[in-house]
Amino acid sequence: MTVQTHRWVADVVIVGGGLAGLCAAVTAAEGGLDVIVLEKTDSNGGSSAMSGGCLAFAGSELQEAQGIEDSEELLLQDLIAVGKGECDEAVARAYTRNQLATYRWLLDQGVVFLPVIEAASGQSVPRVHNVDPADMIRQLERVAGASKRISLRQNVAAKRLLRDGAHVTGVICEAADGDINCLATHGVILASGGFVHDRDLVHRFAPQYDEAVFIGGEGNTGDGLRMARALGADIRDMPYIKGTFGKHPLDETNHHACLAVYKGAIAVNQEGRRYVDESISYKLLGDACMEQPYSVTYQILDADIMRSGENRVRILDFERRLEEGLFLEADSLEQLARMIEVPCDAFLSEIAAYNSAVEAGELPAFGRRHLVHNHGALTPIRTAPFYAYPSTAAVFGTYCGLCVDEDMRVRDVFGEIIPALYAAGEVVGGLHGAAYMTGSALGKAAIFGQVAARSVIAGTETADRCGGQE
Amino acid sequence: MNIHLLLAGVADIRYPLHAIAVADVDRLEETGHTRRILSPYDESALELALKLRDSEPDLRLVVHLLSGPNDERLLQTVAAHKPDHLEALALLPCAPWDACLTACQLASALQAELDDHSLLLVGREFGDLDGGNLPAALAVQMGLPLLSRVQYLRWDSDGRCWSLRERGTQEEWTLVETPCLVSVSNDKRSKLRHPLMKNVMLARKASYASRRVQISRAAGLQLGSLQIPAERQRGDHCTLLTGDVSQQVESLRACLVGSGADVP
Amino acid sequence: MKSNDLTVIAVAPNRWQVSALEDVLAAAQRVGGSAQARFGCLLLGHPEPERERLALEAGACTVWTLDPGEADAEDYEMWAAVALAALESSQLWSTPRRVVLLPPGAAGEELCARIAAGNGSVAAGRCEDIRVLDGQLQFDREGWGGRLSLSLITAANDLCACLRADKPSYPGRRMEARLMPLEHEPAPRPQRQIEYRETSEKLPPIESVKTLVCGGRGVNEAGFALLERLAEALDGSLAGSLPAVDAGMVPAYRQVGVSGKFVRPDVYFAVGVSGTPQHLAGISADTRIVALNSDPEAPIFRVADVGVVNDWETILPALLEALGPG
Repeated sequence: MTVQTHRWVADVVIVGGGLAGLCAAVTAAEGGLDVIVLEKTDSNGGSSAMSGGCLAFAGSELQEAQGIEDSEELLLQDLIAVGKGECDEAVARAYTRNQLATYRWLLDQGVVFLPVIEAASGQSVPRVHNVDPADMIRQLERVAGASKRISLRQNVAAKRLLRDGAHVTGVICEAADGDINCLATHGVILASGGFVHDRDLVHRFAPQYDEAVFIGGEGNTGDGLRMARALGADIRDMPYIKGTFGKHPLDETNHHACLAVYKGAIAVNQEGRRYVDESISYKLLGDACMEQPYSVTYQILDADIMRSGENRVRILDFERRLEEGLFLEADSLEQLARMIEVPCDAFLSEIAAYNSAVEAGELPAFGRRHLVHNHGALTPIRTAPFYAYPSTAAVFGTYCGLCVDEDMRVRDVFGEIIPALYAAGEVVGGLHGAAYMTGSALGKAAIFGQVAARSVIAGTETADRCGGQE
Repeated sequence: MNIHLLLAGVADIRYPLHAIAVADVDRLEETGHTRRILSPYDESALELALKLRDSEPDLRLVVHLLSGPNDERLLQTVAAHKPDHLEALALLPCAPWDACLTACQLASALQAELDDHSLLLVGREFGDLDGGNLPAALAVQMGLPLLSRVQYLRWDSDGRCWSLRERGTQEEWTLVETPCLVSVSNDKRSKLRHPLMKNVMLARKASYASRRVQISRAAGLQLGSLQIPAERQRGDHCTLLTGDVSQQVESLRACLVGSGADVP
Repeated sequence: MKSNDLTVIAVAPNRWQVSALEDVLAAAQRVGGSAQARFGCLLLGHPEPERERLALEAGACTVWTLDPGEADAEDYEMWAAVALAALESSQLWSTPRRVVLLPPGAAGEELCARIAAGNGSVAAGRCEDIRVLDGQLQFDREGWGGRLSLSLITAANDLCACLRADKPSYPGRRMEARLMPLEHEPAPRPQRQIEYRETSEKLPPIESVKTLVCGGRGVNEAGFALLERLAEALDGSLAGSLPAVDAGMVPAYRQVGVSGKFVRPDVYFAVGVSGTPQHLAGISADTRIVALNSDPEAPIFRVADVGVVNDWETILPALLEALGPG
């Protein structure tokens, strides 16, 4: 690799230093390529480091040890079912075919998985594999740092793709001391994440989320998406940007939602009225919440429900949030109504109607039957003190993006491959379809990072056979 | 009772400091991304005012915010808590390093607003440049009794207001008799609440009053230069205790008990 | 700068901790030393021969005493009135410039502001390095969370300030030193209605102990319970950094640092304290710092004398065990 003042050259240039970028870099270096990773912010990790650390794998030794039977085929069926058939099956297959190898490869790199497997929505069998996401990033950074073939460059923002004819030959990037042409002799991998921090772009595809809270790496402003679109790249899944209900709109320390509704709380809007069956999926609760005035509603609970919280489960850890002052607490429902500024009469009659239905064994409004899904009996809201948890929807990723083939080669709007341009991670569209499976977002960063790198390596070999490169 | 609250704001210490330069002997120039937020003392003072209002909804709360970088954001933050009146006070010149001058300016701005039933609340340090002098200087300037470093305020069943300060092994509860200035310290009982999102959104759309106070002083404090503070010199190296836990504990015990003893 | 250009007077109420007197004597030696000025000491309150001796041994030329009778330690308005009366009557105001020093800390800062407002001098408040340059009084003040230091200049001749220095030295009584009682009858003032309640507090004030245990952001409630037991076992006391106070782990009067207190224990055991400049500014330079932190990169290890890289969860219970009962 040669480095000149205003020109950098490598075999492959990777845009973004999150999980996808780091996995791609290490894999490409293993294949004998020299790599430059451009990271816009001052540290690697991006959204991956902030994530819940869940990766969906099927058929792992960890599952086997716990007697869980899972397979590539079952995972594929689940992915398609969760995505309501809207996903790109070729991309889903790229996930399922490569996932087990990536799981083992991560272990080889020294990534530590917790000895638990959890089930999550949309999974026929438990298959969430857990890591400490920040530790995983640090470990991969150490591996990349130890490789002589990889140069990790922070505070360098990729701006435009360079082309020679149809062929992508590098990126123009902006560093502290000016613009630099960063040339890639064998290809550019876009691993630049999504665009949760470009609210205008989100608005264009999902205007109902204008007032939601967006959580993700600060660099996620859709740079890769934009650069590829400028070359004619096609995009998909854009309408399926989804939020999760239960995020306190002003709490900056907890990234996770709080779902007191799943322990028996009700949700009321600023008019003091219930508006939804609270037992449905938190994604759908998110949609319902965004339709209410101010896009904020309140989870209302009493002392008994507060006590039924489960401190080991993040979304049900009420006690800590109470200590952090996130719940409003009142001795009476009237006082609570005053504190959250909802009309007192409407609020009281709404709760009275809910309570009497529950006590009479009748169906309360909106047909709520259970605490969550098909589980748990409803309880009235009676015992002081009473609590309100302000809640909106949080969007943790954009889950949509560039159209790619099974080798992560980016396609243009005519379905043709854009030569030497690859994508991996959140910038890739087509895997999730209408909804995503827990663990598949972080999973696709690692898996597709590797797939993209292997495609570049394969492309090199083709070039070698043609005598095009040294 | 009515409450007047004075807020100063500080640069957010979670982010790198923006560019600050001495523009003149009485003027600092602040440029770049200024992230001014309420200080822990400002927040505690605001929360105590809100707590008093919670159980006395008719109590009038007026907030005076020192004008400075990113006023708009800070005004919105405060407005989301729905004070009865909110204004920005632009001090000319604004010399927050000079407690005497600042107290004089604030007193002139507030004197006519306060009456015999007024409680004036201020954080125990006023902004980034107060050397701890502003509350007392303001009390003297306005001729108000001062309750300093108060940790908590509450009503009793007779509707009287008491202030709490902890002193050694005692809680000291002092009856608050208006008019009075209370300087507020931070305390776990006065962590600022989150406003309602509805009010946050409404606050974004509101506009705010601003007032100019023009008073200068001849023999005040003039700006010299700005430096990055020298790191305090200490022993040049740290002896790290090695070994397993029991060895570390034994060495620790030795250096904590036999103070000044050499590390084995 | 000639020695007869500047007068330095250290003021301390006898009802305050003796450490307050030592702090202000150290500050007077610092200002006096750099300006080669002589200093006097004004002791307010019921006479305390031991404190008078300390002031004389520290090199005060004159020690004035003034007893206003019954007085609450924290009645700052009264202390300020008494100090103002004493300063007015004292005969040492003949030099062109005068600096009145109060003990560093919130109480001293309040007294400083009141005295300055009372006699029209400039309140420097919490500051560092008071000097005379080009015929003008100058000093530095740290601002913006200790990230920048501002030098301030005044054309006025009188300054009231709180300066943090380390321990005073005691070179011994000067030949010419004298003790001079003053008299002043403070004006009666309306009494406040105050009620006292006992708290569960059992540890001594943080300024008065030889061993101080301090917890930071990295320690939770359970950890602070262990630190409290440790402080007891070591016959010391318990302090906290600003984040710990903010989190409600310890009350504000146990806070060490720029906006808290300045402490001079022999040993300072910092547990889960990262070691920000604002925190370190509250610890005397001659204090031995022992640090326990799980992060080997924590800045506290750059200033500590002894360090342990480990979790407090691992170390503290074992340490308490090793210290044994009582």
